[in-house]
Amino acid sequence: MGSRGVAKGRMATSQGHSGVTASSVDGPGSKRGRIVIVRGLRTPFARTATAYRDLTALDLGILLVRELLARAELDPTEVDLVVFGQAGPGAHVPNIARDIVLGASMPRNIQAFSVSRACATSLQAMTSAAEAMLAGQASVAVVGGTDSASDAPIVVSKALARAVADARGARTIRERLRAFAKLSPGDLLPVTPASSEPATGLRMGDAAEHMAKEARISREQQDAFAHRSHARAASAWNAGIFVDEVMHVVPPPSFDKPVTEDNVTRRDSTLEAYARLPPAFDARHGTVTAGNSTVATDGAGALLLMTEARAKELGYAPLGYLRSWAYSGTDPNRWPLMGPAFAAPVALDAIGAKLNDVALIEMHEAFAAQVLCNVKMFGSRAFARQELGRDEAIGEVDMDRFNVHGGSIGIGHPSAATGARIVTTLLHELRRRGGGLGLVTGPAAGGLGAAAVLEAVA
Amino acid sequence: MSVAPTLAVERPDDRAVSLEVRRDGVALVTVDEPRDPQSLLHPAFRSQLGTAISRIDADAAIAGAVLVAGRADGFAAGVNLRLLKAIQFATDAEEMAWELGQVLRRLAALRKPVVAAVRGAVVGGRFEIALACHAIVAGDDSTFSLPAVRAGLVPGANGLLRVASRAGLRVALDLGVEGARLNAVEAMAAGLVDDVCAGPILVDAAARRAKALVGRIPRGPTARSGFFARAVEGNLIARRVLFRNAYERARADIGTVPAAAEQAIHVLETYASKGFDAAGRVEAKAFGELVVSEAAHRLAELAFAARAVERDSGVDDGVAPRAVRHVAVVGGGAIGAAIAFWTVGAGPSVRLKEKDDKLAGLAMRNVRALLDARVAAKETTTLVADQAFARLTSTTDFSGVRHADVVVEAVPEDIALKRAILHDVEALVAPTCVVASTTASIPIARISEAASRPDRVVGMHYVRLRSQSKALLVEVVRPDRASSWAVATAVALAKRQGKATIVVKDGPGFYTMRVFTRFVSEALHVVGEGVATDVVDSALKGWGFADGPLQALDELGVDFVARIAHGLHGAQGSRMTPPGSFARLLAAERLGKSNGRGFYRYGREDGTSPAAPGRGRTWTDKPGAVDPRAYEVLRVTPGTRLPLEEVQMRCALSFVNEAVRCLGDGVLRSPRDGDVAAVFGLGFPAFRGGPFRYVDTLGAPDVLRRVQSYADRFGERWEPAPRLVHLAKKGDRFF
Repeated sequence: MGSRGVAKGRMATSQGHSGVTASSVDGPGSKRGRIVIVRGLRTPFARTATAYRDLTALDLGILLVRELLARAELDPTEVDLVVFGQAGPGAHVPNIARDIVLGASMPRNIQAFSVSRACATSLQAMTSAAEAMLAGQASVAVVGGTDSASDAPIVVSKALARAVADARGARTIRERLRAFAKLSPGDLLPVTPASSEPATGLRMGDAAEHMAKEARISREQQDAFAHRSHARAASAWNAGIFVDEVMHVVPPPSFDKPVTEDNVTRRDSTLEAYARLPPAFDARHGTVTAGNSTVATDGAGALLLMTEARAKELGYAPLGYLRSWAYSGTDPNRWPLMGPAFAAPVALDAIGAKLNDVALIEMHEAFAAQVLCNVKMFGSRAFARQELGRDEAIGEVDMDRFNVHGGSIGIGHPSAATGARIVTTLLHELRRRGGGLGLVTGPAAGGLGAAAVLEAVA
Repeated sequence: MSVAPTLAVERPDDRAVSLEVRRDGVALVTVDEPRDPQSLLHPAFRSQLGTAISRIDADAAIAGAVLVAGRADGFAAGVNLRLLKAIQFATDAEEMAWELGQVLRRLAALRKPVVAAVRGAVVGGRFEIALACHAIVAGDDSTFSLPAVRAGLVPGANGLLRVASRAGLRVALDLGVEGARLNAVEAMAAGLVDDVCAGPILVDAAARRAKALVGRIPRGPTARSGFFARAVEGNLIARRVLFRNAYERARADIGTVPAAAEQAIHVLETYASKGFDAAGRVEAKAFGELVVSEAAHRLAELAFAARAVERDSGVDDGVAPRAVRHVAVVGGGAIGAAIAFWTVGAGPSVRLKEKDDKLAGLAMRNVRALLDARVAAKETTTLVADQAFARLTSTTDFSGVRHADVVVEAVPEDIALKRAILHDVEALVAPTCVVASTTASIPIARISEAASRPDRVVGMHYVRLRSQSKALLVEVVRPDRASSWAVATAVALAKRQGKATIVVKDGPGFYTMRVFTRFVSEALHVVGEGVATDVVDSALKGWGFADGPLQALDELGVDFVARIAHGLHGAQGSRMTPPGSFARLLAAERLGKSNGRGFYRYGREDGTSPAAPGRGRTWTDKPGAVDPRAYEVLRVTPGTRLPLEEVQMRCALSFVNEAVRCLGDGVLRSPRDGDVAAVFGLGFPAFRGGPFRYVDTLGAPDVLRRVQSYADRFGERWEPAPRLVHLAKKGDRFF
């Protein structure tokens, strides 16, 4: 926050309720300083430890960026900046953006930094690059995110970590041995990386349960929504909708098992199947199941951004424009996954748009409960008054314009890649529908939310 | 000294050796190496070095010395042609080597320590001087080699002996005979180098070592060699086995000159049995004899020709090549993957197109395997290999091909397919993009008949020998309608890929395959007369060819060579009538290694051919025994004995006669190109210099006489090349 007036007024920043920060690129008529999304591409998404078992997040990121540049036929010397992220940064690659530059044999003078905003990581990468571009620091940027469970860091117990640190500082062998003497066998086991949030102690699923109960979202509604997500994703694959958005990966070292589609999508999804699953987080009163949640997924997504002037010079037609964006932060105990409802209205306000002006919405689906709760609150005047300080509701969501080709539940969710995926899918679909405004939004762990307004012309 | 004063060896600068005493009492002797490595042999260099040695010895202010040998960038190893031409008598060269050896012996015998500080490529004479010092400190980028044998010589300044004394006979054989190249760490492990450090601190590190050695210079021959070396050197029988194996390997190794390799081994044998001084005498004598040998002269000329080819843009009108940053390779089979590998290694990015993801993956895996093999061979690092691999992407459509500067089509030899790809590619790429086909058997003009811009369509024929792991030669094929910029761009790309590159006129078989077809056709005639296939092959290998003609035919495929033979027949008339053997072999589906049915056995021991190999798989690399079923198909009973010389001359001269025809027909731009291509692409014996040098060496009249006698016996296929007749009549030479 507090970035008001950055870049000499080329970017307007406003601060809204609940710690929401919004930025918009100068008004719709302005040609100066518009950020063009030239291309988007992702790998197929795969359940963790399946198709990409041998690939690290960095490997996936490198494969994707190479292919993105090759398809764009962009000489890598034109790239100024790479912003990339992982939802769970690996111990080996603290600055994955730079390692992508180096690993993809891109010119060494390209700037690179990494960002992290949980499930909104690649949206953060996009807007951070846009800020640099609006500040005149870059004109061509590659942004995105990548995740793979194959190199998730192994965490050791606090006791063992301390013993190792002590031993390192020890001067004699005796001191060194003494450092390890106090350890119990249990201290030597690896610790499962935290799936609960340090601030609340809640798992994300607990948060979804909390919201489902708070907003009274039924099990049936959640299951129906999950079914919808899988069914829509399956029919999009069948219709070839994703062909231009998804590269094929032939994973090394064997190079013999091409991955061409997401393996998360249930091609034969039936509503009945969801009802059979037990609650995953609250055995007695719970409604959130493995079936109506997203699954742990490996994959990468990336976008090629340019300033409008540079895109013209290089002869690239825009896929779409980034018009505005906003991030929100709320108390994760109260509204853990309600980020979209807090961030979206601010992003819309920034360009003077209403939800009705938006032709398409892409919302990240962490849980069906989270999606339905947000959708409900978009239409709630009470929520707007109490939580947003607004007189009117954000607007009723028209489900015919919402996640039309499925979402994270049916497609998969490599946390850092989803932002790039929804931007790409939204812009392609907007163009198919004749252009217009689109909203991408999603919650992120810790009570954060992200939203961006995009525009495409047919 | 009896060396003729008119010696045309470049006289080194008067300050080639300079000496400066540092404040710490260490003398810095800089041997500012002349461009011409052989001028180390010049008396003036010797005397300058001698003066420096005397000064170190006499000057009380000097405690020890650091000898900095040469520039950091090293120099191209190779023998100076002028030196060879200038020396007429073996004794002169012997004397030169002996005298330089004497000076170095004085250096080694100094009572003050002298430490060599070396960087970069420490090759030949430069290495030998460093070895005469009491210790060597090497920059971490150093590499060490003694390649004299490759040039038909032996190291002439006792370097081989000093390697043997420091590191043992095995290392000396590796370096001096097998042509090994050691990096700094390997040289240190072998005991040749005493310390390795970063370049910028090299001289200081050497000076510190010199100070440390004051009063305790290491003496004694095997002080630093390992247990194995000592055990071998001390044991007569083990030594005998070592040398016998070395002789055998030298004879089998096509890269060496047998006479030179044998001399080098002999020098080491003498060292092992009679000691340094006796071996020094033998070495100087061997050096002298080899300097005036035909082989050394031919090799020097060939090296000179290869360097000239390297500098040749391939076009005569001075048109510059276009910059190549992005290359598309269509077809990821063995050759497509190899081209991708060479290209990403050279810098440009590659977009490789295959039919489907499986084939694309296979191509990627093959490129990765080629890179990994380079890492395993320590020719590059994992980091560099990863960087190269990152420049490669694959596709199953034509995405990412549009901005290519060169598109290389590497699909199977099917003209309809090649035309279709050219059509698709032309619709995409910029008018400045070169489109090259790797065909070996289809004239480029036939592929580009319907091209919208035939001016940018050329051929890039990668020529690979059976015995080579990779192609060393590219024929850039220039059809009549091709423009110079396209040819020059293809030539520049092939050179960046590390290939010897010549430009040839379009036509059936271009140059290499045309000459090769004649070569194997004659071999088939000889076999048709009842001479056993292995007899023919070993005769030609004995003559110096890298591969026997029938082994090579198995490798390339009878169907493939028959197609070229057929094309040549159509283009050149009845002189080129293919031997009937082609038709018989094709009818019996004896295609060679590709289907496991050749002149030799491939695959399983019992000779039954397994199911046709899948793409990317090959039969066992080495041919097995002669497969007698080939004789049945050819309807011959092997057993005819022809004089060895007749077998050799008929095959070799059919090669030479056709090469001369290619020059006359304008297929070749110069005899130089013809020689370089024959040696690098077809395994023509390097120590014979190439077919054109061979004519000059033997004399055109003699070659013509032999060809004419075969023409009298065998008819029109032996019709002498008009250029050969012309040359013989005028008593002229190619060079």
